[in-house]
Amino acid sequence: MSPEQLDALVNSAKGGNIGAFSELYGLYGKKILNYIFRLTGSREEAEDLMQDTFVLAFKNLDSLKENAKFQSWLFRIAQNNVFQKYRGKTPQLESIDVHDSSGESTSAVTELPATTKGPEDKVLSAELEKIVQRAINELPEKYRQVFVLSAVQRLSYQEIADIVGRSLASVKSDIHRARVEVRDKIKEYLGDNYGMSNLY
Amino acid sequence: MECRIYTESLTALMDGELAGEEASTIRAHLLVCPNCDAEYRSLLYTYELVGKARLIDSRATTWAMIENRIRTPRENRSLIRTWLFPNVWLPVTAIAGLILFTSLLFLFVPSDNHSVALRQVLNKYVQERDREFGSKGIMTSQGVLTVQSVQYNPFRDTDPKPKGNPFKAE
Repeated sequence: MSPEQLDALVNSAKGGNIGAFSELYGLYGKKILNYIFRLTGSREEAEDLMQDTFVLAFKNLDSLKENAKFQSWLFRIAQNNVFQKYRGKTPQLESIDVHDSSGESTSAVTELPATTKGPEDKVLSAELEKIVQRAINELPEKYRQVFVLSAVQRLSYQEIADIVGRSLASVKSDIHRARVEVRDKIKEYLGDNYGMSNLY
Repeated sequence: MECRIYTESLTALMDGELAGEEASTIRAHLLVCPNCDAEYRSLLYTYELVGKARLIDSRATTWAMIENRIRTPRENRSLIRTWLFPNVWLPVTAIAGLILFTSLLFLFVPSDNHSVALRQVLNKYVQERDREFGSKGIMTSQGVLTVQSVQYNPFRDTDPKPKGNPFKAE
């Protein structure tokens, strides 16, 4: 979508046009949902908070000064909603421990099932999804948000800085530290399987 | 030291956030430094792994629920309440403070027992005052205070005899 089209859409929504706002929902709803999902680890919570985000956004559209920053503004509302509900709490995730033949649990995943998709549409297996989500959950709150915005949402550093309200240099440093931490955790969970190209 | 500087920019290089010259410098370093190259590949692997994480879709009814909430007037009232009381702890703290203040007021208000004791002290003082004034002829037997002129000149010496030179030591 071009900046002019976005500007027209946001202005129309500001005028109370719910149809225009539904188009904005179509453009950004999935991004917001997945952002909240990665922060909370819960699909149910993500759905509820996503609804709250868009309702709040519609009611407060007049406070948005620059229509071009609608995406950053929307992410910021979502982030604030998550923090209000989850401040100080670590997102929960069910255990990914596996058991060997003697019944004892092991901390690392020793066998990873192959994906069922073809090479063109490789996605992570369910176990790998859990490993990735667990690594994200264990990040400090400050690192978790920038990690999800950069590695999952693939936003630019400037957009991320606008969303989290920090300087570009601070965001760059935090993203690097977050990536290193996630890499170390995934390496720990995968053990010898880390680095193998057939994982995805 | 040089490797440390380059390592901190590996993520930005991966994300395409470095300017052309800086990116070229780091890429050139990766060609000659196996440690930094291994670190870069390791981070890239994780980045690609995370990038392949599934994106979830919202339910088909989600937009309808959002639209319903936007159109419902009750949403406006709840939002007004959110604006007036952004934090539930604010009114709770205010009410708790009011209760505490009111309780302190009741604690420091004099009770009947205190006023009785105070009255007794006042009565005793009045009785003593009446007795003293009565002995000096100031009060009548009915306890009515009357003003009498008292002719008293403290500078007048009742003894007419000169006492000598008061400045001379005896």
